[in-house]
Amino acid sequence: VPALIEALENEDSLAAPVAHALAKIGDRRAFEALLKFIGHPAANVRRAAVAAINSLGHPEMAQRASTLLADPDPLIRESAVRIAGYFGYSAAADAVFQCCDDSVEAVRRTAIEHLPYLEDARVLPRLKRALEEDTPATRAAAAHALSYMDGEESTGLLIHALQDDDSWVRFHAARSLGRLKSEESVEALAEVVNTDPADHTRITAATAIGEIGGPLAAKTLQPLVLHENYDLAHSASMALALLGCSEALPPLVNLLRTGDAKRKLYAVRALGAMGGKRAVEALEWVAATDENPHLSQEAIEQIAQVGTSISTSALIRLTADRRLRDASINTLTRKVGSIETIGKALRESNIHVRKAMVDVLARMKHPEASTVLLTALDDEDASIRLSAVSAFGRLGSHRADRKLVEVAHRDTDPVVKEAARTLLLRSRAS
Amino acid sequence: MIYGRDSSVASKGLALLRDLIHEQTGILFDDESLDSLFDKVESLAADRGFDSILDYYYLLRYDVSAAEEWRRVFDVLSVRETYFWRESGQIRTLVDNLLPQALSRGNEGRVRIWSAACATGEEPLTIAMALNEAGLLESGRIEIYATDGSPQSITGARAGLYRERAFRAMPPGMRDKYFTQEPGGWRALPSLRRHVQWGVANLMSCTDVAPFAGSRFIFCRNVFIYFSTRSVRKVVDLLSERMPRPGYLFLGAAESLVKVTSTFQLQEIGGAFVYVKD
Repeated sequence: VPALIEALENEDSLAAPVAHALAKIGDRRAFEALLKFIGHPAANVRRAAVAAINSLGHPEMAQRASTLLADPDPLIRESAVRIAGYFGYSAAADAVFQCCDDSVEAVRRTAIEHLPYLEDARVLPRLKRALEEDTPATRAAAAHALSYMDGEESTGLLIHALQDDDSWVRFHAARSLGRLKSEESVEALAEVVNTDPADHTRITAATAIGEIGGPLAAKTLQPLVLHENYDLAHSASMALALLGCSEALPPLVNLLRTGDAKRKLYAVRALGAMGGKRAVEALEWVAATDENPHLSQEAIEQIAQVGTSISTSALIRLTADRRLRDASINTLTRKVGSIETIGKALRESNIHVRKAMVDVLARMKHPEASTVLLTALDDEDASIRLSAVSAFGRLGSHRADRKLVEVAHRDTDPVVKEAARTLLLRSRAS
Repeated sequence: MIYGRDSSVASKGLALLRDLIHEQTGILFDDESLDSLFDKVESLAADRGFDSILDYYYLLRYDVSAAEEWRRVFDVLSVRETYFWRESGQIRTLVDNLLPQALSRGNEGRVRIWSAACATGEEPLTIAMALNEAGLLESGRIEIYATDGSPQSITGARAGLYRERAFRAMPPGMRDKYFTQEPGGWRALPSLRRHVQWGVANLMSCTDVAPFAGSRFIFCRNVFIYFSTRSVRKVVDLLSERMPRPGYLFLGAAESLVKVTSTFQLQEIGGAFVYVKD
């Protein structure tokens, strides 16, 4: 810590990473040194210093915050608001409210943004005033802050803010309504999605609709997956995935049949986020049939992320395809929680699948997987038994020694027999 | 605060921003360099009051003030570490071999040299000094244009003030001849600077490149190493469409057009390698 403090004070170019490091360590000896940086001209350095101070939770901070909130330097006042807001110091509440009327916009904006952290009856009326009367950046901050204020009044203010002249106010209003899951706002958000002149506002409104859901949501989002703006199409695809309802699936599945690689990728990601049996079936179909290897790979990744027994079974089936085998094995290897399902696949009729499962279980390097792998030493096919013997050789485990003795004496295939014998000799020698 | 670089919001925003920066500037940050990109843009996003890189992406992609913000992006992405007389063999070839040939052609009016990624001006000023040493600078037949994507670099170039490190490859005596010492470094003489016309130009923009791409001599050195093959192809196509024949394109020692174009042929002229549109 002393070395970091020295670096903080003497190496300006290292100030931000050093402050990040001090935040992780959380040693209070850095408190005074960090305070010197809350008025630094670079925003990232100020923010790093504030984050580090917040991580310290120094007992003197409450008292110091009140003084710093009235500092002549606006950069220090802005940082002080972030600190006072983070801790929600009640003693500093009046000073934070005063900063909401600061002559410097950045201070005012930050104070407005941090008001919800104060448990104070004045918060909502003050946010309302900011949303109605202040500059665009401060109105946007108020719209952002309202995402932390549950209730009819704040929802009403946000719906009204969707009509603001400034696109960033509308953007934050839409996002906040999504976070509040305000069902009464879906109609207004649908209007934004379809008519707002600013693309970023439409994109955020689409996401918000997905977060909220409801009967109008799928209907609004469905046509947008084919929108010419790819960001909006992506946002709509992911929003449909969030809905997870039956109407959300067909437009995503239809996207998989388009010739547009980008939209297909969005659909694959959305289906992965959606999960469920039908989404996994669609992803398995893409992995198995699409000519684009990157898309197949992504489909396999998404199936893996679904993380259910249905998705594990899909990955097991995909190992039958030589083209997809390695990718499927790699993802299955991470599925330690699915050892039982993978073990059952050692009884599959397809020899390639059984062989792949031997590979998966061996690569897991997990005691339970090694136990399940013992079954493969009884496989009807000699090549599978040989793979299993080799796998135990790579694992260096003695778990299979008793079974390997049996294989070394009784296996019907001389190559398997010899491999087991060699492995046992090596094992004994070591 | 800005979402940490490992958060999913940051990852999504950073990947989108990476693609947008590639599209607009030609510079490619691969997956291994994403941390470096985050370090460069984090401060810009924080300055604009954004909590997430995704929102900053939206600003650059869609906001009406995006053009102004892109100037800042170019400033943080630009690599300003360069020096006078860097890879000077090519400049010797220009001055000793190629320019005299061009000037001797009866129909050649003014000959234009363009330093397309001049950073803080070391390269075009080196060319101007070399021309002056050869007695060509005051001929009135040579124009030197120098541009960079970073407005801050061009402001620095116009000021012409350099620190000690910029002179590390300078031949003896040249600094005293062309620079005057003052607090903070050495300033290029106005009599040298006036021969260079400075401007901001993004190599990926047809509109920006068009006024200069008809130059007979183009120096575009140590830029393509940061570009993807696709970006290099786009820039080279823009140049090859407009450059006269013969046209001479000078690249850095680590750069090659072998897999990019067949319009330019690599030739060794006067001991230096030059891509020639013949």
